[in-house]
Amino acid sequence: MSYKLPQSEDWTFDALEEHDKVISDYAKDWLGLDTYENQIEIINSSQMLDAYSSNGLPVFYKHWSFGKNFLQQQQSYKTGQMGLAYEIVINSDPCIAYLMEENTLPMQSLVIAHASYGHNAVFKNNYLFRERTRAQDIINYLLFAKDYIQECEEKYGHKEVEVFLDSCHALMHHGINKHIRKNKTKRELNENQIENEIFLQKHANELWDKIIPKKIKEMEGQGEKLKFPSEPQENLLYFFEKNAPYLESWQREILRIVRKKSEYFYPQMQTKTINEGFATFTHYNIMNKLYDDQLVDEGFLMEVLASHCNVIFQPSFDSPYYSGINPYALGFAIFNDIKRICTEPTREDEFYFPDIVGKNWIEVTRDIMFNYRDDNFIMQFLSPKVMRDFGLFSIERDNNKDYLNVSDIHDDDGFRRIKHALSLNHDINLKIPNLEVIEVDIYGDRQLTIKHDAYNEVLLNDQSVKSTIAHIANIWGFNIEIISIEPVSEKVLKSYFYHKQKEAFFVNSF
Amino acid sequence: MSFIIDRRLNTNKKSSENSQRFKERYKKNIQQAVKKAISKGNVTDIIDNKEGIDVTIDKEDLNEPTIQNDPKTGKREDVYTGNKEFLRGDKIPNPNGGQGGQGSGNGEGAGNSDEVSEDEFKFQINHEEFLNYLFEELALPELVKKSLARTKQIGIKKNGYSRYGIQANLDVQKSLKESIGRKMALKGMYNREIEALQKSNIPNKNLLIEEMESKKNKISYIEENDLRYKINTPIKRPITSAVMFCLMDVSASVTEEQKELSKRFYILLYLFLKRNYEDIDVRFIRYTTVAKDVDEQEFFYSTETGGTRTSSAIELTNEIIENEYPEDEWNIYIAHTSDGDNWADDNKKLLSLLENTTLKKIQYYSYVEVNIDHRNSDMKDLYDGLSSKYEKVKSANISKSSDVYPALKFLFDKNKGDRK
Repeated sequence: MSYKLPQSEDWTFDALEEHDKVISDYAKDWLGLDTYENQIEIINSSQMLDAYSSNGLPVFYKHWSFGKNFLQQQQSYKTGQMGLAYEIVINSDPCIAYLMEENTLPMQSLVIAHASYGHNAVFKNNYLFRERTRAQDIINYLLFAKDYIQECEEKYGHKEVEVFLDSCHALMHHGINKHIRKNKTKRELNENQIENEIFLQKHANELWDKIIPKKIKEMEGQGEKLKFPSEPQENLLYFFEKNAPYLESWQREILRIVRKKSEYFYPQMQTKTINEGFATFTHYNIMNKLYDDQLVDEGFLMEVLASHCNVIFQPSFDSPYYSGINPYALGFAIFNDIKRICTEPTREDEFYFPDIVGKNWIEVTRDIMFNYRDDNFIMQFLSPKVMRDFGLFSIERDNNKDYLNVSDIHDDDGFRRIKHALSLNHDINLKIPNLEVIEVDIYGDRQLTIKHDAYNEVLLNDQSVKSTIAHIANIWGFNIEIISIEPVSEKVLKSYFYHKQKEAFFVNSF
Repeated sequence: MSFIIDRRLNTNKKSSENSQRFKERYKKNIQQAVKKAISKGNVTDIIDNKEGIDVTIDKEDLNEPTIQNDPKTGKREDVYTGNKEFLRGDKIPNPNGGQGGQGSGNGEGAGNSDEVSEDEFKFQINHEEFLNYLFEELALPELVKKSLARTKQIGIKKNGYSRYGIQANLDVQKSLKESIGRKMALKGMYNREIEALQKSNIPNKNLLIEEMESKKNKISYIEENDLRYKINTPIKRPITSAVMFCLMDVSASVTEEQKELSKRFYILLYLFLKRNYEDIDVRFIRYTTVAKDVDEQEFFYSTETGGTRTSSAIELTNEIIENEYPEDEWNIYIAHTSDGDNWADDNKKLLSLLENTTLKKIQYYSYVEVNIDHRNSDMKDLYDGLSSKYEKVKSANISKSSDVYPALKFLFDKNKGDRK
């Protein structure tokens, strides 16, 4: 008689514990995964929607946009459109994962393997997460943020705070230092929050009252003009937090909170494919092993596999269900193929991946998960076989021409170029417009100039600029100019101007 | 190893607060949708079926702006899946919309869902919320008189614990907790003594230790002192007593259509009253040449008919007020619907009854003329006259079903705009 894990449809807390124990052993001993301790929370479906809509974080400040997300998702969920409504996991220590009470036991087991061990391992070990996020502190910080914002609402007015938060959110994708400064000071993590607030306000006041005027005089003496900022600033939220002349200290603190939030999520944006791929790969291996070791029977495995197949489904470009490349599908396919290259390589594999052929697949995949992000993951490890399986092809679109060019297809010739193009498609720097503050008119009306790098002559969407530029002016307090420049030739392609007083918006093409 | 926690009972309602904020922000859209639903649909259906309604908002208004790339500009190269027939170098006409899914930088969070990319954002509010919005701006005017006489015992309020009481009020859990506390304290005390004895060099310490042990074993499981009893206090509070008289003209001159409109008006009114006022009396009076005090069922569903003598209804109302609702204790309201057709001589009697008796006793009189062809009847003129003379009289017209809700709103507007 061999021991079997509980397998009936209906889960119990004991059954969950038993499954978790075995999965944990497999993850640790078989796959060698080092994970944070797990906190698995059972919730009902409306709580799940709630978590989903506020970015999965258990504690978050109140904002109307989360309400909109919730209602929208409630709709999709009711109409059956949410594929992975059952998976939410948080990068924190302990790692918090949510299980929906409506799931069957096989599904709960699957989610535990996927989220509490797969994602958990990525959060703890992938270099980007290690560099940028401190998992132990995030929940505390969020609690602080939530209370702080609530206090502000009570003190300064609900509408006031909402309007300011809206403005901050508009710049949410521009609050990152792309290059990490090591040795973050304690102040960064709000150890001395009150002191920090005072410091910021004092700094900003002094900057405009004393420091800049003084510098101007000095440089005048040398026959030069002062340039502020002295270097282009890509972290807009941080620049405003420190330097915007007329903000109250509570507004600076809110800027900071939004900045921290986007910093926290940034690695997740850079690693969507590799993260989901690895988690899917992990659950696939663990669930199959449960069956191979005869701890569960066919019924259990079938249900798990059925769900797995749904998750990694990739529609063709001409299918009505196509909405881009499914990161679960691509990520899993790449990891799974790496396993094949390690264990059963072909001549082609020996040619393209000489370093990993014949190696231990567990170590190789784990190592990759540690050290790569989406764009270089695809660049290094997309195999010709995966390319053929997906039928990848690339389309070159030059908007000056009236036709699209099929530049490459899934053959030997196309492989390197398709790999390169797909990798660039996953480069977050190309998805989010690159903006930098390059100048403030300190001698005149304090107008702020932002430069946009128009790579490949890709310009900004006018409507999106129009709706955002007023928000920027709201924070800065003066007129705003945005110029799109072609980075190589340095030619100015387009400019936008917003006059704060008159609330007037102008566009100029060149 | 892992902690498994059951959070289902923790109804934090966090997102309902976010949803609330969203609904606040888009209140106007929601109110519009509510009005539309009420005027288009069958009122009784909406109310009986307990359904919610759909609300749509233009995407424009919902914008959470961020600066984005324009996919129609510049040069780009995108990779797609599922190639079937394309060969390198094939040319495809450039559709201006731009095909396929490129990110707009919206990939945050662990679980990502694609935004619904349509021009409208549609969501649902449920039945409760629908009714809330429907009746949000409505209130009974001049609700002032409070009465202690008709106080209802609101219930029992928990008011702490006592060491004395009756068996029925014994709080078992609390008592056991107290006993546990006592036992822990005593045990702890004895244990400390025993430990001290053991460490010491007192000659007959073993004997003493034995004594302590036996004392420890004799600590009683539960004692009188541990018992705790719940204290319950009944609370009373004066309630604002109100009664609404619903007068409906069901004479032969009133067509079925008009009766239907009348009924709709009263259904909404009744629902509004029951929702917003905990303790309100509603009296139904149907009249032709003779008035009858009926119950809800008969009011809405009976089919009697006859001639018209409006004063009969007012007389009956006055009588009921005399007998059952002393005016110094009650806030009295009258709602009256009719097609305006009255026995020729009756209007004079009506006017004098109203001015000399009824209006003196009541807070507010609302007259609704259900009139398909928009002509003003004599009765309407009568009431219009009264409403310009007295603050507490207001009249309105209903000619089609989309007028019902606006009329209700006009008559019972919380904010009491201008009076006509």
